[in-house]
Amino acid sequence: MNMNPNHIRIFIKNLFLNKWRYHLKIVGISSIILSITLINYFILPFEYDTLVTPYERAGYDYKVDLSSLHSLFIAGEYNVDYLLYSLERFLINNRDLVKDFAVVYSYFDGHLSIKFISDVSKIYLTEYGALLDGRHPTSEFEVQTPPLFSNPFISKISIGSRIEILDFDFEVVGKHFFTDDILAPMSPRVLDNLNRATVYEFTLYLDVDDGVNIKMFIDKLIDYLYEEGFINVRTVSGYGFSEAKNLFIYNESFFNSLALDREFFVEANRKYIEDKYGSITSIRFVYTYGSLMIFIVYLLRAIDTFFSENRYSLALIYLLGGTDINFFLIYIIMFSLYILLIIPPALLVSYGYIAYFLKIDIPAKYILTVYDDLLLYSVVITFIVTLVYNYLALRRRGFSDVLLERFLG
Amino acid sequence: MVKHVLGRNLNKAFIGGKVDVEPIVDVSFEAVKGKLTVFTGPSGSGKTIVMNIIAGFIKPDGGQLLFDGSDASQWGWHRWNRFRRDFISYSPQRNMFLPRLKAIENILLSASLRGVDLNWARDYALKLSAELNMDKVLDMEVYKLSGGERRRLSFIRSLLVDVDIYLFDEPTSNLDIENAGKVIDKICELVDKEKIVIVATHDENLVRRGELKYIVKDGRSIQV
Repeated sequence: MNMNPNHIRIFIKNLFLNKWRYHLKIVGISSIILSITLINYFILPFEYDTLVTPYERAGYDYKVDLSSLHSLFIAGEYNVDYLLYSLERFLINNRDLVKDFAVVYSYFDGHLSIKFISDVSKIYLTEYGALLDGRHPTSEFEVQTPPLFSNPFISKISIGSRIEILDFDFEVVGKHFFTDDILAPMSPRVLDNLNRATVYEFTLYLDVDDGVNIKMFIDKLIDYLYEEGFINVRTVSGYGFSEAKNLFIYNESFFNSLALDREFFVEANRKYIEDKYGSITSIRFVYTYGSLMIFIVYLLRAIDTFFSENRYSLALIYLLGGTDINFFLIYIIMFSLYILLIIPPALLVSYGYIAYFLKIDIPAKYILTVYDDLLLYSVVITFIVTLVYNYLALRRRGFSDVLLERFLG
Repeated sequence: MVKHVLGRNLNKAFIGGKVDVEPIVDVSFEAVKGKLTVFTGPSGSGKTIVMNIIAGFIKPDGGQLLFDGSDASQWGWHRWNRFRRDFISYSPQRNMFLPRLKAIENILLSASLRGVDLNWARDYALKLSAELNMDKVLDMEVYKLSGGERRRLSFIRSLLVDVDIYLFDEPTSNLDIENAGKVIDKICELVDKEKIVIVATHDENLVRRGELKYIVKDGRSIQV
């Protein structure tokens, strides 16, 4: 015994249109409550994945000396964003932590941009992606203090100073130490925990003639930096991502030999996570699961009110021969409509708050990998609890008062 | 197939409700197939409550309601819903519709809920509507209809399903003599088809056609 789908549609439409302002209010408030849950829920696994997972997966420790930087990775693409994205994917897919020194450059319309990056790692590149996404407003003009470079070079890097290399004048147009206004709030802790394994980069911007062989220029530049003692690395160069990638496959035993206190970092970071989330008194735990409970209860009450106020219509359904199947069908459709209207704005609000207010550089694609866990969990819980509550309420109240009011009132 | 309905000493008190309702003290009745059963009596005497008890919407505090000997006062929610779906068609006193739907959509909703073929139901609804002078308002939203039109619409809706028990609460109220006569004729056709038909009414013409008559007064029933 099913309702004709067309009649279900008309029936639901009838119920929704009668009080669309009420439904709009429910959707709005529910979205805000759910977004509070999502904000914290998104941060939690990301912090864990950033602080703990890499160490657990790594076969060696981060705590390495500058002398471990033994290879130089040079890769040039016109689209430096794509290059770094490829690099990041490579590192993530390999589940390895890479201690190395990378130079990437981009050349466009006579402007050459050269980025020197040390300690290239999954963590760094994930965060670095935020710069490329434009979330760091000053990323375009900055030179960051690079401790992996030798002191003479550092001393020359100050805003407004000019550096002459290979007849090219470099002008430092900005300087930025890698601090928390670039990175996610937890990044300083990452840096603290990593001790010297910090991430640094500096960028040079210069104009070049079209006749310059960019690759050769980069090679000469690196040679120059090394010979002058500006950098402490020996050059091994490759061009393009494929070639450079192979150079990234370094001698793993070398890194293993440097392993120090890996367990210490794992435990330290895990404890950090536990303190923030693991206890029911921790603030994030309270925010996340408290707001989740409020969301469930609020939606439950909203749907209950909806059914209470429309008990006349439900009574009519039963009066005309409808059964619980029809009630469940109406409930499922109504609940689904609510959820479909609530989730997209909740996702947008939570992600926007994380990215633009908290300035935590959680990649959108990372969120897409974890949001469904919580939402599925929340939606299923809400669906079941609300359904049971409303169904029992319906049975407990029956329709006698509605019918009597209609008949006799 | 249900052939016999028996109410024994039914009583129901309403305490603390929103509506001031006189209690049912002691109502007994019998309804059989092929005979028109009529409840009559003054307004507020409890006829509608009795009809709602028979339809399973109000659970009596005491007494028995027997459908072919099975005591429905002991049935649970599910059994009542299924029984109502399979055996009862009810046209309540007040006209219950979804006001935003058209008249035809409202009456087809009942057929749809019971799995009746909608093409057949639509054709039959058109035929009944023509007989009861309702064919011109089928495409109008219900809230635009007059009281008499809604009354007939409710009546047509209850006829669209083929069940054993038909309950009509004041089926001729708000109707002119001509349309009231047509409604009474239709009710009698159901009786002739060996259906159990129970009516609550003030209409003398309808009371006269009853074969099992009960006067409900002060919450008690008296067989006439």
